[in-house]
Amino acid sequence: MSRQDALQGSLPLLVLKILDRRGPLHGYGITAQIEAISDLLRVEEGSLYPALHRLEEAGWVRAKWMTTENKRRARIYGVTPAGRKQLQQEESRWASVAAAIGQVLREA
Amino acid sequence: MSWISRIGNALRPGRAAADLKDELQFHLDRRAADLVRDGLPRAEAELLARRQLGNPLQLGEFSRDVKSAVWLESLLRDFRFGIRMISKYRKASLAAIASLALAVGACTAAFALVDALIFRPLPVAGPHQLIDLARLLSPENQPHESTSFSYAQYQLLRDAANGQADLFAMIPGLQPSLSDDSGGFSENLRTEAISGEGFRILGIQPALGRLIQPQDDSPASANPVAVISYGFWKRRCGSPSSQKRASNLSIGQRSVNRASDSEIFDFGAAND
Repeated sequence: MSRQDALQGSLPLLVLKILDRRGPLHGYGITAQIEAISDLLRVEEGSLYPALHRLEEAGWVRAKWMTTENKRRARIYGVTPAGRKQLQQEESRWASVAAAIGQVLREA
Repeated sequence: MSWISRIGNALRPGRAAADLKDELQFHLDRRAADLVRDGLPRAEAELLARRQLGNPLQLGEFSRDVKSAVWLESLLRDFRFGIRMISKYRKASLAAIASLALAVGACTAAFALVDALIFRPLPVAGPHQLIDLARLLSPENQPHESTSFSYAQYQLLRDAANGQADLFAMIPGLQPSLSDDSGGFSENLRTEAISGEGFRILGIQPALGRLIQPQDDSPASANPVAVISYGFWKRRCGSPSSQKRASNLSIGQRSVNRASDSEIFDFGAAND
């Protein structure tokens, strides 16, 4: 399994979780956090920004232009209350799917 | 992101695109800086960062679909293009616009006529209960319908209906000329004669005065009367209170002293 495939469909879940745990971040910060935590997962950068914009459109994250410490304009994303609710749902869905697959792998 | 911001982005596509470019450029710079810190030469780091991010044009397309009302954006683009083409080919555009205007006007006029004559119910009580009586004539094996009856025939039919139906008679197309008694003006009118029960059966109320009544049917009636349409009344007789002025008019040999508020006569008035 290639590294991108491991992320298929789970990118919004990871983004919401990172933003919930680490607080507001810019897009590159999200990429760096995911890579720092996991050696296996690497964010397909080309799909990160469309995913972020879709989350924003859905109202699960909110974006703000802010100036970073080295005077650069950066778009900072933060999770909204609706995003937190969505994260809980996605997390439990992911857990039950993973558990179900694990069960099949063990018992088949 | 709400619809309002989507529409805002569609109205200023340049700004949304610049924002996205900034955002992606920030990502590239940070990635390149991290790679340089890991020991890569700057040029190589920038190239690698760009390769990892992917095609920025394609990314822009994806985000634009999400963040902008794309249909509105392309509509505005088409609109601007249209304006440009019109000002570039003035004569051809003018001809096209003029012929379109004529065609639209003709269609509107035709529809207004059809609407007035066919679609809109007549402004009378129970328009769907009106029946036009005709009789079949067959002189020399060429049968045709006639809606003309003699007054005696009309009376027979009316009495034969015996309360089951109400009958009234009309004679369209009398064209007496109208003149002011003081000689102020004269004009040709379209008038119709109606039997005394007609207005009552049609359920028409006068705006002022009274309508024609069964007593007026008598040939010996001392005061022949006429009913004028509301439109004609306002046009010719001035303010609604000028009943006096209305009575100065003479149609043929009859004096006028009544006005009806019904629109039914306005078909005729429109031709005046």
